[in-house]
Amino acid sequence: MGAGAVFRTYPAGDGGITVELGSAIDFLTSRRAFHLFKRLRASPPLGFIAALPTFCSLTVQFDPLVTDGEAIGAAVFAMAAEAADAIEEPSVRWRIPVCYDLTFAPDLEAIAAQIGKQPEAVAEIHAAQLYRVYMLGGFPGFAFMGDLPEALQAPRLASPRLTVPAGSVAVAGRLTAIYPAATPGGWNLIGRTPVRLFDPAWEQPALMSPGDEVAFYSVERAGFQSLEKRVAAGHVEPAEFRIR
Amino acid sequence: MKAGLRILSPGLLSTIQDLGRPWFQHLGVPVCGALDAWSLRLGNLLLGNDPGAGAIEMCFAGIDAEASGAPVRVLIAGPCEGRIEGHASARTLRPWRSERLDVGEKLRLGAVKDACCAYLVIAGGAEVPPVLGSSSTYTRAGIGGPAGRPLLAGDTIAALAAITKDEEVELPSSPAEEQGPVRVVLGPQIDYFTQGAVAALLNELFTVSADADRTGMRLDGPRLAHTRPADIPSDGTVHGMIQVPPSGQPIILLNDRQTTGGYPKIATVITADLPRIGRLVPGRSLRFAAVTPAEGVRLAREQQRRLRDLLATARVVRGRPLLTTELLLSTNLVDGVVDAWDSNV
Repeated sequence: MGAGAVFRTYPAGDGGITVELGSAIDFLTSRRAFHLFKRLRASPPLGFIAALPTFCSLTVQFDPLVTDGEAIGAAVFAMAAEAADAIEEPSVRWRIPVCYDLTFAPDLEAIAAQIGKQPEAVAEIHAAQLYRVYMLGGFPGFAFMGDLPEALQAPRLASPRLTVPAGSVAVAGRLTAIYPAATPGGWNLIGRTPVRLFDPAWEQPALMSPGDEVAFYSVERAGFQSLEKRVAAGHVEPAEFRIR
Repeated sequence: MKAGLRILSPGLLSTIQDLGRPWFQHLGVPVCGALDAWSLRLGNLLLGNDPGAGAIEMCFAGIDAEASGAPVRVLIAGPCEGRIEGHASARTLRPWRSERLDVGEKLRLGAVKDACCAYLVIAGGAEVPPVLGSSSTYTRAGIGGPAGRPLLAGDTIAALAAITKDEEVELPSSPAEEQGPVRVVLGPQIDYFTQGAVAALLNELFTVSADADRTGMRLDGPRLAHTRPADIPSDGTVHGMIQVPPSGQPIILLNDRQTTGGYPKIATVITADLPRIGRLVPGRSLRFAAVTPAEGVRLAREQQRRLRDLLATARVVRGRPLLTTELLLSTNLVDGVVDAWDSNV
């Protein structure tokens, strides 16, 4: 069984299939899903429309007027069987400035209380970890990153907020993420960043890609505000935050 | 000058939609596009447009607009009609019959009847700069449309082509509404549901609740019970997926749905029935019936044949002449001679 072996395939209606590569949130499995996604895009079967790589699966959408789930499934199986065993080293690393000020972090104290530490310690623990992007979804540019140290792991809010500020840095379960825009949000907010996560005008519209490494570092309010101004004025390129 | 429609009143929620942008879902970008893609395509093809050309999707209420720049040919694709306040007189604009609006003529459309939406299709297609390959509007992220938002009074939507003929096109009758249950393929997470839940899905009546929009529609009816916690690692969504959160209340996902979701999905509406569910309004009832994916594919292809058959019944009719009697009478006499073809139209 090749490393890219497929677990199970389920129909997703008559114009889609869900290819399950694992059953839990697992970084290696999400890399396999992403590799399969790239291979499909590089050699799309007849009728292929799009694919979405997620934590442990790949959803493939196709046009039922020209093909069907069996044909697409066969093409996907063949590609998965060809998969190389080695998962290549990550090529991109981002360094994202975060202000962990309490005014930007309404849930920071609750998380701190949970581990019997000061809010500053939570910020330190969050910023000390190197994360990897599992997948993007839910909103343009929203990257699910992991894994959080166990100390910071808390469930989502019982009631999601109707709106969270754009750039909010958040945690839920073993994952951390940045809200790209002011949308409803159920994750715990522990800081804010002025970095843009998505722009249709960029050559690659989303800043992050599955497999990317992400490091956060703490900045004071003044640093946050001056960067925020530069971003608003359009003077900041995505490459400014890329360190590899 | 360019032909266009200047919006006088945007109705309740009118957005530019085409067939959507499926190519960036892996970046979290929803597909969007027309709730009723079948009507959009038929309307476009009748006017000689690309089937996926952008049009104005009008939800619940029609728009008021004025032709500007140059004459515009329009067609209503869906159950909506209205009046044209012409230069000479008023005339009716019925669905599925094109009409030319001369510069300054106003279109006033009424409510969309018994359906969620209807399309105001423009000959040549709506000229809206594409974002990420499509002009479909995604208001939440400010993508598409004239400015990443629904239409407002004062917006002008240009037509991509000029009018050269005075012929109009019409269907002899409005397309027949699909009857019977909405067909679904069970799964992908069928094993997260009790046998009772599946039986309820396929035997009971559901009603579209008031909690319905372009993202999805919550259904009132029996609650669908899970066999285990209703929480899965987020996986990809497709149009028509029926997801069921812990509450047990099913939600049919539509065009603006989030690309991924962490609730189990009990079934997915087939491609042929997606336009039908896009037309549903709160209060409307529906039943579901299970089919195999192969049957769904067969039904999708059969529906495409029906679209072609319907197009074949379209009639070309002579419209109002490009040079009207009124215009002729208003032309100044020069040396007692009136040249019928000397006009600034």
